[in-house]
Amino acid sequence: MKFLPASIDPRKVLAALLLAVVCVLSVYAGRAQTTPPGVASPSKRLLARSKGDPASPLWIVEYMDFQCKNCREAGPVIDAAMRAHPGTIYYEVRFLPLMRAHRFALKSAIYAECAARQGRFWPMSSLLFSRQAEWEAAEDPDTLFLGYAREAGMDTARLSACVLDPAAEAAVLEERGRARSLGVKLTPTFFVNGTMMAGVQALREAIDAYFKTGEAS
Amino acid sequence: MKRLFYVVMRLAIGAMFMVSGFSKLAAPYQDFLTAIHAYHILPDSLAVCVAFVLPWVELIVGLYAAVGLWTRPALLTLWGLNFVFVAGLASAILRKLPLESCGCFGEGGPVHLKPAEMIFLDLALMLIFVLLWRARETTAFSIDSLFSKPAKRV
Repeated sequence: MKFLPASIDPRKVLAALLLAVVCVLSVYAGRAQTTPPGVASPSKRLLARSKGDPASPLWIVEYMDFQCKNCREAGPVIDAAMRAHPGTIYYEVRFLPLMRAHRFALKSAIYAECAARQGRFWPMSSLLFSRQAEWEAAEDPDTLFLGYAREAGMDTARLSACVLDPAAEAAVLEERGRARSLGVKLTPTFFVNGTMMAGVQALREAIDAYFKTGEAS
Repeated sequence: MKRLFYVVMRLAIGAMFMVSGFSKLAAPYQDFLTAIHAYHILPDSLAVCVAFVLPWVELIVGLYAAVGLWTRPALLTLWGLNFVFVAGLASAILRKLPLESCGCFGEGGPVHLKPAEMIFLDLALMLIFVLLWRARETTAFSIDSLFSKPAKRV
């Protein structure tokens, strides 16, 4: 250890390196508890509402409301980008039901949350958006939602139990609180590699910019 | 007794930074990046660097402080980080940013404190840092004291 200045104790350098290695190993051991192994990944709950590999370089997190008209447009834009650039995008949906503006925003989010718990989030999400006009005009959309769930291949008895479980509503409302704490007020709002932007046009531009320059703007 | 108090304080500070760093590292870095962006202070590229590097610094330097390795430089580094956190939180409060969680333990971390709550905790930490910095007993039960005898150079 002659390369070290006399004032630095080589034993401390060794201890520091050892402790740093312990830190790195403990972080990787912690990450191995989640999927996929070795990569920091979202919770299983969020993975059920995601597409792509969490290790992808471009992360898109969308805060959405199923009763919001513009939110319908985001999915196809992201799907097209994922097809054009396979393996480079991770897309995750989080709930922000705008309860004052949309009377069934919370209910639809709870159904989607319960669909995710059965691994059927995407078919349910697709049906909720494509039949938006139908259920938002209904007096009580539960029957329609259960019909969509059957179409999406879900166990409706399990779904009904989940919808009535206060924990499902609490989970959705917690996510809404998290969105508010980040300053998200409108839907759809996207975080593209952490940068917040509102609206599908901004998302489209950010994706184009990323694949042109390698940076999300 | 006083010596034990300083050791406990050193361990507490180190452990707090370790928990903060670990909870951010266990989650995707984008989660912490989102929390950083919510403060509207750093430009994008710098925010990405901070989101990558800061949790590792918190974890590793927190561990050094806890076990008493290069205790004073470690405490000085953590004090510097704490000072930056206080400045960021104060700026968010003054600008009335609608932050319900400070993001100090990552967006999905175990602890969610409001900026006003966190700033009090950080100011209390500042006080402890000053006490530890002035105390000679800071290195009791530490790797520094274990290696206090000069090593035989090879």
